[in-house]
Amino acid sequence: MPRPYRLDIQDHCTACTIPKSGLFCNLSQTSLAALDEITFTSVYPKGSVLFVEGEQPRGVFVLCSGRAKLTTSSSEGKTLIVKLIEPGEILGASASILGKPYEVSAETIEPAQANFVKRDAFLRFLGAHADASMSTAQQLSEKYYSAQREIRSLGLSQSTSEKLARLILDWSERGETTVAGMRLKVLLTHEEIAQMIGTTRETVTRLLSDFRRKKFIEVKGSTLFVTNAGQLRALVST
Amino acid sequence: MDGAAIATSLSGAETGVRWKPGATIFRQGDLPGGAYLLRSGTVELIFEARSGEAKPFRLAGPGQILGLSSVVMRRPHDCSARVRTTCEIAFIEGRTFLAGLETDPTAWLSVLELLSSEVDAAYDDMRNLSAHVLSFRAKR
Repeated sequence: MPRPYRLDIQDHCTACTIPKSGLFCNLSQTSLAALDEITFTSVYPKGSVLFVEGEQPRGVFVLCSGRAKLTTSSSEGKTLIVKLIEPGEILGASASILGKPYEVSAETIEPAQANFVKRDAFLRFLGAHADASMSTAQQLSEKYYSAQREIRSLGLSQSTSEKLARLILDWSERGETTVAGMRLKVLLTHEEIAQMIGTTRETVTRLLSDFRRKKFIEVKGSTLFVTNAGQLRALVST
Repeated sequence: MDGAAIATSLSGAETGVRWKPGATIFRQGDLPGGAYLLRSGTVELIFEARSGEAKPFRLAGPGQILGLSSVVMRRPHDCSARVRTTCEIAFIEGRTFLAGLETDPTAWLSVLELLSSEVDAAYDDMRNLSAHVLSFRAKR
């Protein structure tokens, strides 16, 4: 049978064959079975908008595979990427819990399975399953930490090279160790990297060239090798 | 249930301790022993750089629980908290707080609401700050 977007689609959390790395994947079997009852399996191509900032919350998406980005727009229309979402994370939780419009937009950056759960069903599920509440609390706290770190880097006098170095070091935590250095798959364009650190596309291109020339990193297509993490760490001051 | 009701329900913390302006409640990088329920007064949340630069970025008011996400994540505080106007603050020991949630699951939704509000506030700050930084750069 053809597989949409070559995704290994999972219809049931209780029988999921994807390695369970995300917080929401590690719930008890009872909670996963309850989640199965309220979940709508959905797959999306790259670039699909799951929800838009300002929209009334319909529910949450549990990202099973693929990655997504959360973005917000300033009053002047500038886009800022506030977080990249990994499999096992939920999207739209804070708006659904508060019953307020989504604070951010969510868009897939690669083909993804993002299962939808209606808001009412999600709230009932949280009320009945303490481990799901704990997992949601941890994810909200993680998003808060991540946002605070961005605010700190925007607010304190951090140079753009520091911000880019910190971003690459953050990514390298989930990279693969190779003889050539930590290997990362970069799914973002230079424009999107610029939106993550509050700068321009031209500056990102210039700084990446600079890092390559100094042999801090090596770039082959969309693969990035961190060849001198120590020098990148030395750039990060906060 | 607001922050005060949750704190009272989970820890029995009916009253707080008075803190004078200028006092530091916790420092960025400290491990969280617990969370702090602000019953009255205002607290400044401050980012500190290694260079010594410190920047207040948000004010917290009555009903807010400071350090809640650090307790949930068991991670060091990501900012410092300093008393701005005289405060009454009740301390909720972290383990007591989490143990209380296990025995009273109905309190979870209120905790999630508080955390969601913190996330929303942080996104709001990001939006405002990025607009300011980008327009400043464009003018240079």
